[in-house]
Amino acid sequence: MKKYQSSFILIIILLLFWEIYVRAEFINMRILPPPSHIFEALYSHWNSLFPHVFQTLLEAMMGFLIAVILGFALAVLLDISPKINKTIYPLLIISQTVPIIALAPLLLLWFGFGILPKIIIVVLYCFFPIAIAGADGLFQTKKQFMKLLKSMNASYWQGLLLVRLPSSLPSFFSGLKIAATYSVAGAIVGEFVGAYQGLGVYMQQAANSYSIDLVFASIFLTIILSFLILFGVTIVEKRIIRS
Amino acid sequence: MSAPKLIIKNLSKNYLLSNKKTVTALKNFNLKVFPGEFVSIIGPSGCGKTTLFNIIAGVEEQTFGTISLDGNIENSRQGKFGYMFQNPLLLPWRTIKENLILGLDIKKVSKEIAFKKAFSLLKEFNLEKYEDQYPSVLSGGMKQKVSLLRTLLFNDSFLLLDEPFGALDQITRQSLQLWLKQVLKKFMTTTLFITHDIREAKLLSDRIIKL
Repeated sequence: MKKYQSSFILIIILLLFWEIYVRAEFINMRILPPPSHIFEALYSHWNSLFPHVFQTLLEAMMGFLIAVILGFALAVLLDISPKINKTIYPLLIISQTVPIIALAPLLLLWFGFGILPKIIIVVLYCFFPIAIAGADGLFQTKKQFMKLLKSMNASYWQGLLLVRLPSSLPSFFSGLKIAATYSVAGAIVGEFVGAYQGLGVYMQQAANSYSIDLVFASIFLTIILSFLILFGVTIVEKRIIRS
Repeated sequence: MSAPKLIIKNLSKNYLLSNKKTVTALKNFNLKVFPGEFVSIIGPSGCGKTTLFNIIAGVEEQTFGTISLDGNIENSRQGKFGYMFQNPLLLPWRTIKENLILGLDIKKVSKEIAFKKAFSLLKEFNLEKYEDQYPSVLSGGMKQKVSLLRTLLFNDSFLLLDEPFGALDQITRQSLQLWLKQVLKKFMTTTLFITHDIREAKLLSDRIIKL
């Protein structure tokens, strides 16, 4: 925690500045409520907020976990043969140029208002950084290690499991961390387009009723959820990467 | 005298460059190595010593020539030699004993047997206290010792040692030379050794070949 001390202090300073700026009436409190009002609203509306938080967390976590499996499988597939790599890689890039927010209404049409289209949107946001970071990690196995494996007559899968996969883990986890921060935002994009529950829905309802403090409370919760998933990934990383 | 363990005949290696020119790394190289012999190969940088080892170990293909092991021409030589590189190449996420059994994992030897073999080897050379340590805590010389033991555990009948002490300081190097002599004496291993150091070659070898 000590290494984050300075950013924690900076956040406190920014919040204090925000509080003083609004209280000094440089801006209308209805347009920009001070942090104290936001936390107060968060506390008093927690019971109505909780089901939305839970829904968004569920969508983000499920989408993230599916993206990890798909991204990992895709990374290995890209690694298996240069031919497969050359065929799939451009398609992957194309998939990332399509604005996902434009796909969201289509997914809603195809899969309804339930949880599935939100999970698909989270997967679309998250699998790319996981797949690319994982594949890069596998490609970057030291040439000398490859020589060692070859001299020991290791099969592709033995080399992958014994050496290449463990050596690619730092890169793989970098991708996971990026994806973790996208996951909650992805779920909210899906909810914005159409949902019964979730922070995206709550944010829209709060904005429509000019409850700006609740909009900010939802944004604050979105940040907390993203950090939670990121924190989970970091803990897993520390447990897996021993040295 | 017994039959040669390794016979290399007219071995050549050409590389095709991107500008379609050919570079010759090895040309008509011949060598016979007898069982239990320690042969050093010396030569200036870039003369093809490592290429020769890569070809013998099956990591690279030769352009021409044949390699026979125990009287049979071997086209697929991967896994038939213990190949040790200048860099110890220990896996940082594996403990010393786990590093030692890498080759046995590839040979699908059961973990129990593999760890037993690794422990007895570490004990024999007074390194057992390091078995659960990670490579990051070892010195350069210790890493090379572990790397050599890993190579021996994988294949103790024929070793290819590519400048294993090249990156070490003089004092460590000398102590490892003596240690290597002691290890190889115990295993009666046939060894091909690459070095730049003529004194090292003289100290360790039965025969010295200039490439």
